[in-house]
Amino acid sequence: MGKQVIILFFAIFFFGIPVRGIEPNELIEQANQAYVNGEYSYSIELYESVIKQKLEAPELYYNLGNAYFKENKFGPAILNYERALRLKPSDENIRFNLEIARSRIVDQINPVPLIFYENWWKSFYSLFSPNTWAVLLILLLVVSLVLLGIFFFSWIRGIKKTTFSLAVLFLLLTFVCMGAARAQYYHLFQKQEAIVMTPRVTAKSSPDETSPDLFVIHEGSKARITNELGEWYEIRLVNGNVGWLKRSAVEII
Amino acid sequence: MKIKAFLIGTLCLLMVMPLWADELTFTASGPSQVGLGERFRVVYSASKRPSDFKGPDFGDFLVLSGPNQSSSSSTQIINGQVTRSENHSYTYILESTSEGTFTISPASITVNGDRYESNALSILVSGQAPQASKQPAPVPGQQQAPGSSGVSDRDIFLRALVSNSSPYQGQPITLTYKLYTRVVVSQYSIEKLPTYQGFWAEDVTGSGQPPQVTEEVVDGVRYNAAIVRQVVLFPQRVGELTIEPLDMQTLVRVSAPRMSGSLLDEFFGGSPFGSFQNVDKPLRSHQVRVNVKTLPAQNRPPSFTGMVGSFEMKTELSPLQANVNEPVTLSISISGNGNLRMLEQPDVQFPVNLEAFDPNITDNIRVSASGVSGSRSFEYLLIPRTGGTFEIPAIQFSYFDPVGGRYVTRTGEPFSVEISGSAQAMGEGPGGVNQEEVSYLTSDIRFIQNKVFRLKPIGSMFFRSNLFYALLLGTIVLFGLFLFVWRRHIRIHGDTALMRNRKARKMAAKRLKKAGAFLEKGKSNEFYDEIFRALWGYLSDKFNIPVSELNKEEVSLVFKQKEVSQEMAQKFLEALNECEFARFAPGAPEVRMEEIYQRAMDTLVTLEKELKNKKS
Repeated sequence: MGKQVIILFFAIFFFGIPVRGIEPNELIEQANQAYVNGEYSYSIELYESVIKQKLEAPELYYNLGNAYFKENKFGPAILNYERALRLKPSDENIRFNLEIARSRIVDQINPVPLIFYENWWKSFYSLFSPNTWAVLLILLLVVSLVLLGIFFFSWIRGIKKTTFSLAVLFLLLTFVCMGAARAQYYHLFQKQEAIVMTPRVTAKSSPDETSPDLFVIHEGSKARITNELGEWYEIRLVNGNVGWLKRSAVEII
Repeated sequence: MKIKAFLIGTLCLLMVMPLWADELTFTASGPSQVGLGERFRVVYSASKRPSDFKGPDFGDFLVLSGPNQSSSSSTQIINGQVTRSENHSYTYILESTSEGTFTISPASITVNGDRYESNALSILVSGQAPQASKQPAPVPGQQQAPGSSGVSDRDIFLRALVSNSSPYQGQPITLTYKLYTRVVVSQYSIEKLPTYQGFWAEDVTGSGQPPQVTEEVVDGVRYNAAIVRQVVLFPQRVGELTIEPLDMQTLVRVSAPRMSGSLLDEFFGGSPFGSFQNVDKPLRSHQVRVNVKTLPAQNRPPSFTGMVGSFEMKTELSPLQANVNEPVTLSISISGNGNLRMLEQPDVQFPVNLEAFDPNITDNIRVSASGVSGSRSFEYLLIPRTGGTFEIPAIQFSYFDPVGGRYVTRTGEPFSVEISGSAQAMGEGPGGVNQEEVSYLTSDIRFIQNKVFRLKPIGSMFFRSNLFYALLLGTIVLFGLFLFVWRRHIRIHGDTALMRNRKARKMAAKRLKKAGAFLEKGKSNEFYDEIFRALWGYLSDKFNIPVSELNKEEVSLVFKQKEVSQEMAQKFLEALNECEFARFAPGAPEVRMEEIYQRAMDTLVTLEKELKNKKS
């Protein structure tokens, strides 16, 4: 319900203001048509213009990623797939195309494998976006509180017993949802991740042009930003390598 | 008559001559008895040139060498008759391996399309090899040469010579095996090559070429000297290194006394066949010691990688201007004398945006008696990934010059390459297609989402938004508020009952006390009143029922509801009845009042007890 209120609010907000000529949905339709016709660079321009209006949707990032992919620009393609995945982590198409885009880039960095229960937890909280988790959380909380209320109201032993145990169960589920929402949120937004956008970049051992080279990564590789200083980012690769890069070499997801 | 006789004679001669000439002999000859482990010779000789020789299977004997072919022919004039004799022999050198009697099956030849077989040989192998095992057994097919088999070490010997017995580590030395001989060597072979431990060895000898024979004088004796083998050695370790001796096997031709003793043979100097015999002579060189010096540690340049010799370096970069993704080639060529095969690629500092592939190495290396020379070139393929001007610093290469005893550094020139264009479409450059791309060409991405979808402002997030927190908190606060109100209601509502419940006993006790007082004063009406009030009031307070609603039916109902025991209910009702009865019975004695008082007390106490028990 809350989501709809927000959407309604913004819908009114945007309809109220004349948006630069064409409506975003029309732009997307044109961009899709351009994509179908093979005019990928034009469709990229159109999709990007929608994003410039500070609007987003997982499908929008997905389409834009596809257009970049067709132009053999794997860095931006991966960036947009990752952005799409943040908004819709369970989408199979996004994951599939992202995998293909990743297979086309130079670096194949092998992540340190997770322990089995970490894997379960990760695939569990990746089921929904933080928003969905949050809605679920509130619904579950309401249900558990209603049950608790019935527990307090009722003088009949049987009802008291079942409502109490159900309330405890739903409260536990609420906490699980809270944990999943937090984990997913952290995974997607707090953990600052970036995609390398230049064909080849050397990571330095310190934020200084003259410092020794550590390793070379290529366009499309994903890195976590662990620190920043001036125009430098300290990045960490999934295989554990840490080094400093110029800000201009990467783009944050 | 004379004429007739001559004619017949000539005819006979003519008839006989071709017959005689056609007569072919093909014989196998060998010793009939040899010692175990002895080396001996088996010779197949044919009187005509065969077109095809097939040796037998020697089975139990080890073939050391053969078949070695030799041919000889001689023309004899005996009593005015010219006879031509030919001999074609195939020689095997065998070694016996086990005791017993063995048969060597016949060999076969083809002459003018006909096959001929030799005789089989039967050889008895017994006991230990005789002392002179290295000397061949007399071969019957050839003339005997008793006592001439001894070839002294002064007649023939092998020497190993090194060009430099104290080289630096890595400095090449030439090891030459020279055969000195005063006798004719008909054949030689190298039995065992040393492994040259501690050296990197390069063979010089172009095998197949006959060795050049020179004359040398050693200890006043003139020898024919031939280089048997030549090896260039690069010492890999410091210290005294030993070169193991080389073993050789030679066949030496020694002269044998004439058998026929014919003057004509003397005159002709003896036919090559029959006047000499071949003798086995094993040879072994001496151990050679080489003392390898370590390279000086002083002034050792950082680019030194262990090369010793003298070298030149040439570097080239082409083209100096290119587009993005167009390959640029850097070639480094190092030429000179030294162990070029050990030469590693020089350390080159490539700019980051020039993708460098592993170099392509081309060798042009010659090995000669004077060492190893030639060139090794490294060709780097560089793919510029972005535009701009890139600098490749000067390449350095260092080596140790053993002649001058110092290090030399060759420095190339620094390069600058200009790349135009910008980084685009990695896959389009000529060198930019990588293998992964090829293997995934068959799989394509999935199609775009072309249904209408809802757009949201960037950064709009329900989780952690104010609304989310408001909803979360609101739900909890609402629930808390509800709970609070409800509890309050229950408290207000429930507390009076509770209070009365708690006070029930006290009230009852108070009334009973009052009743006790009336009892003492003898006021029977007041007394009964108080007793009644105590009993009813207790029930009213305890079960939260207004006094006005209380009657006996109600009481038994409440008792049933509250699960009060049957006896207790009975007892209570009896007490009430008795009290009522006594109240309206005229002239009740004081004793009876006392009894009723006790009974009411007792009833209330037990009821209180029972209710308490039930609660807990």
